[in-house]
Amino acid sequence: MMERKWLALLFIGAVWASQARANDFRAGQFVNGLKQYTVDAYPATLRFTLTATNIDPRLPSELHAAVDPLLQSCTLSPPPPLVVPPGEQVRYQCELQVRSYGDCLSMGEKDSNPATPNNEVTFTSTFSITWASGASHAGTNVLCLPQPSLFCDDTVYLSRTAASPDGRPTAPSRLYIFDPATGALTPQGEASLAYDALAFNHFDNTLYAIAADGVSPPSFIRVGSDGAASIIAPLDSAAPRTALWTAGAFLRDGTYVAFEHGSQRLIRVDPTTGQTLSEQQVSTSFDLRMTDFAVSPRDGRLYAFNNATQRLTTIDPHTGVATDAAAPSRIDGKASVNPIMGAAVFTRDGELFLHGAQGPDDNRTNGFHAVDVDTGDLTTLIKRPAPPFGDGAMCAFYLWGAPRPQPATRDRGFFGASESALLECLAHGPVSLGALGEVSTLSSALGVLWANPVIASNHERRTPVESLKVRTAREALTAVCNERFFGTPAPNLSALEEPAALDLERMEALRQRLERHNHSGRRTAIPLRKRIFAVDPLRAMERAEEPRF
Amino acid sequence: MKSPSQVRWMRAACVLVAMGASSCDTSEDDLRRALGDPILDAFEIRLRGQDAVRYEKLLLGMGQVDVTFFGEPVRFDPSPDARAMDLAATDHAHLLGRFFIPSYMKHVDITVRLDDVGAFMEDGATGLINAQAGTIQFTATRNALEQRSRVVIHLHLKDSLFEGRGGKTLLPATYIAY
Repeated sequence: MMERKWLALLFIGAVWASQARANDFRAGQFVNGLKQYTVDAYPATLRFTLTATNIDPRLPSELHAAVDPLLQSCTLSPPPPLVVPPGEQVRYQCELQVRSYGDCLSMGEKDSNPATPNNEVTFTSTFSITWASGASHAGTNVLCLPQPSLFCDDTVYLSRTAASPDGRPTAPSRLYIFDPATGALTPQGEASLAYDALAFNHFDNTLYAIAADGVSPPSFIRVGSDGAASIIAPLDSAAPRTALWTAGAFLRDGTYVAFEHGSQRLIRVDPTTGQTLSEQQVSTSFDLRMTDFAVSPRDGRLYAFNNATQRLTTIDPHTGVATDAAAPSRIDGKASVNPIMGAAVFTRDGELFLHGAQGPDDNRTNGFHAVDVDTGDLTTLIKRPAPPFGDGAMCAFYLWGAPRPQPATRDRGFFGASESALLECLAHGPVSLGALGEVSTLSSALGVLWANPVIASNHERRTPVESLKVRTAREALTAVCNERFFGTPAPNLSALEEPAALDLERMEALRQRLERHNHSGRRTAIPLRKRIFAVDPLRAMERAEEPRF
Repeated sequence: MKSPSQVRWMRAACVLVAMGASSCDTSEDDLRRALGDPILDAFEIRLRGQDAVRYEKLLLGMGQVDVTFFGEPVRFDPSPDARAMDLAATDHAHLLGRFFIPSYMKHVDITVRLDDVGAFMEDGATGLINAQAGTIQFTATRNALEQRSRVVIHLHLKDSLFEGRGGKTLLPATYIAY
């Protein structure tokens, strides 16, 4: 009798278990393998990958619906409802052809992100899934630019190549933009070739490099702003085919120069054809090991950190003669233990910067350093753990008449987090916000920049009028600081002086205009001579003083 | 099992019975006409961080919350706690505010916009968050809302924040729970 009872219970349990469903899904989305993708050539193909993962390790889950309103042209197959086994996912692929820049803008008008299109994000795609007891969402951003996106400014490009188990470079190579103000590394995309010796050509605002993996013959390549590589020509060199080209730069005359580590050869290449113009042995009386060099716009020489002697080395690109500095480089006034520097860049102002790679003294090496080219000594500007980079590149020469980048601007977050930038802004005198008051001290400026539009610091709810005043004041102060700090003229703020300034429609129109302006130049690099190498928004928030309107 | 709104209507109806104005089995529509403004049910919207990984602090503020029924706005009262929410404290679901709907509304559309700039601390270093694309939109049914009188938006921080120029970009990866 007891056995029957147990059998009956087991049977009921088995029936129940067969119908049990977990309730844990997670939506995921990528566009061309990234969360944020930039399009600057048309037509372009965007490949969206949408996933619904059953994150329950034991029970199946039934997906009720999956939708991405912006990708309605795609059929999601297999369509929901469907059961996803535990720990597995259903994956959808959707290809979207973007024929023109205008196509992109119209998608930004249609998407669910009220802030798009703007200068940073043209449209946002949001993938939503639902099941019996919940929903999950995931998004991607696409930025569309009317033309190729690289300009001659102080943008620091860094590349990194994977290594095979035997230490050879192997695909993919990844391209990043490094932000010295925050230490942020923004992935731009990857190439299916292993490359090094990255360099910025100031004649066509394009990145070039040499693809070499130590096995196949090396090639001279172009690296797109999306990180993709295209071969221009096989590299014609007397160096062995297994040679690894580690350093690259563009000379003032627009020729590409690269250094081969094993044979110590220096090669000059015509970037248009990929043809070798000259090749020579570097002449030294010392060990020379360098992973990158940069050309000085002042004397035209190549500057590198010699990882063998820990000294700054200069090379005459025409004679191949290398000269080591008199003494080993000191980091922040102290001797360092075998530092290895991975990337070197020169600004158009003639300032040299190195990004440390790795070494026994990782803690002091890893980070971004300014270099005194006379002594070879380094000053650490930003210290943040980062993967070792193969190479760095920056525009070192400005060509008269070349297209200029959008005048630099930053949003309120930048001025609210960089005390030195805000102090420089306020050093020009109080900022008049017309009917919204005046800002003259650091704490009052921070108070405006960090004011929440819904809740005041005393926890009172703001009225819609107060909320609009907060939003407008934040943008107006930011626009004035953009003018004072970057020299980018602010839109006319005289409307705030008029009695009708408090008319809600007019104020909202002004706020939107100011917001667009403050975001318009965010892709342009902050000049390194501005010395913004730290931001601290949390400290700034603590010092913010609630504004009174 | 009655829903909370039905319970309230029943109570209201019984009060009317006591006054001799109606009977307990009067339909809700009749009661609404008799009472004028309907009694509203309150539901909370909360935001909770998840998968904080190395974030020691992650501050985001509320920008705007819209609750609508077929495009018509529904009353929403923001919470003072939503001014600056530390989502790295994953054991706390921050109250964004409460919305109020009559019983005939069987679903609402909810749009949560975070303030466009936030801040974080990760491994001792601080930085900015660009939350311009931080819009979260979903539809909540009354049945689901009535389970606990609230909806909790779980923001998966590990999957929602990505390196961008000048800081991290917020692209919300969420899970909506009731």
